[in-house]
Amino acid sequence: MRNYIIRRILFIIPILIGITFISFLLINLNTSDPAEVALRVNEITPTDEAVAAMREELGLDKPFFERYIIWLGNSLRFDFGNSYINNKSVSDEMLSALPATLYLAAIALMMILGISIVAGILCAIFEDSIGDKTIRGIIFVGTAMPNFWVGLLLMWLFAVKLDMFPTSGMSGFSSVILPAATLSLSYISIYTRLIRNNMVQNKNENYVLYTRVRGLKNWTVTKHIFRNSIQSSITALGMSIPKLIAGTVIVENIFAWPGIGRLCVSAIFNRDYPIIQAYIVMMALLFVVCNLIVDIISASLDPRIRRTT
Amino acid sequence: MHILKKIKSDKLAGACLFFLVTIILLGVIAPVVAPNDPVETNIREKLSGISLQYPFGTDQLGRCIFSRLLYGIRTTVLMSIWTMLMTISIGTILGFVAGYFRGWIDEIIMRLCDVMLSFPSEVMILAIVGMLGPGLGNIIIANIIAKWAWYTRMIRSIVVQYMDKNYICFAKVVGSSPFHIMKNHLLPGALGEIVVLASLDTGAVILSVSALSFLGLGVQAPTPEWGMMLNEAKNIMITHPTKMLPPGIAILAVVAAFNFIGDKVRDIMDPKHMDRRVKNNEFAESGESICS
Repeated sequence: MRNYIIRRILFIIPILIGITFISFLLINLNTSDPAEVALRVNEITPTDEAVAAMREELGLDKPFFERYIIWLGNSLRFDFGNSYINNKSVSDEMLSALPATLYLAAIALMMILGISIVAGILCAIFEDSIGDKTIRGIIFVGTAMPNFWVGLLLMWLFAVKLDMFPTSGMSGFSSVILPAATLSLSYISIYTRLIRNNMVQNKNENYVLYTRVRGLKNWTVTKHIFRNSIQSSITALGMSIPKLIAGTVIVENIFAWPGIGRLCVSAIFNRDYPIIQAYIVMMALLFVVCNLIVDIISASLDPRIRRTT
Repeated sequence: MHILKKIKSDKLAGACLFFLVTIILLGVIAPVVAPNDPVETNIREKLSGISLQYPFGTDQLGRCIFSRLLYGIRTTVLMSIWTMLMTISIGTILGFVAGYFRGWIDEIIMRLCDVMLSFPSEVMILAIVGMLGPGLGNIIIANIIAKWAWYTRMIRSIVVQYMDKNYICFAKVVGSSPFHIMKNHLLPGALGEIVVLASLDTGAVILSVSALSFLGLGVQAPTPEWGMMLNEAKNIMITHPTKMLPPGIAILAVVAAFNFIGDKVRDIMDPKHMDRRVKNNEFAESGESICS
């Protein structure tokens, strides 16, 4: 087991180097000169001297690989330079926006867990009933609904028409409900379906027959089935958490939620490359770490995985 | 193409297929069927309701929503299908090369795929659009870069299965060129499975393209695109909430149809559901492979 964990952690290093290199390369492939962009957003006319001075200030006059190494070294210390727009430290900007995103993702995760477990169990118990079919219909539509449209519809119904929640911004608990609901909808569809199908499959197993023969209560039997069906959902959920955090981009923009997704999109419009780079590196780190944790958990549960990878 | 026949035999899947073909045709002949110019503004007629001249009413600039929807098929649906074709082509070429030659080239391509796949495609797309700047072309490039690795890996695994087959070994022995073997012996067999892969994911590409356009990162005004139409409808949500419906329903219907067909195709291809296919495979593998 220890060997597996060590090997798995070592495997992260080339991946992180690859991702940082690609993100660094892409910026440098860009046709617009970062020095010119930095001047333009500060409303300085980009004369040749000004561009040259800016290039020196941003360290753009050095060769490509040297710049990459310097940048990589700085990002290891969580220093992503300063924003082109307001000259504030990028890591400060990111860290001040991160809690809002994590809060939104956490509430969405709770909604996903609560609703999909209840709906999944109910669907499996009452398999092929009208209720099951209705929920499956909703699930099917839910996976095809663009979540930005869902967000708009929810906003119109609950914020404009019924005036139950604020339309946008972050102000108290009521403001998080609509964004979190929008964010969680497609995941609820996925997990309800996963839990339902696994439970339905498990229903025909011998151990279920045995518990029934023993005359256990229906509820106890369901509990047994549920515990055996949840394994694959846990693994999938581990992979969903970084996706959930990454998926906040659209929701944050609809509901004007002050998180990192909104920060990143406004940085794209402003061509504020340090923020975009920092966002990518942060997301990559998050994804790789979550991946690692999921792999280690599933390896500790199932010895077969340890040998194959 | 027995897959197509099976889809047609399923009523709902057949209806979805018919719906999608109709939508694609409407997109192609949009200039003929659209009642109005999709980008022509007419402030006097702005936000008007349903009428004979404007079947779905007009938007905040007095443009015909129905015509914009029809032209939007071109940007939203046709561009997504095209993106899918490009991604699949790259995946097929690299997957074939990796699966056929193996060795160091396989190793390089697969490790590259590992790096690409260790990153969620949503973030990858956003990152690439962030680097290249907003625009439809950049969205397409971003989608291709973010997804090719997955297809390369899937198609490679398909190719590897075929490499042990006797007829491939025979073709190698008689000295056919690798290109000839890939084109005439590997491609016809693998094509069916490649089509399945493509059909499974087109809905997701449509959602991704329209979501980015909704954020303003994709198609630039005044080109009609469903995601962007929703973004424009968002600004007039309080006064005219019904303007959100046509583009939203359009995306929903097309994506649902693609997903449904994708699910059906997967069911058909799934060995559990395919008795005939299982028999064929057993038949093909009854003689022991002379390779390896």
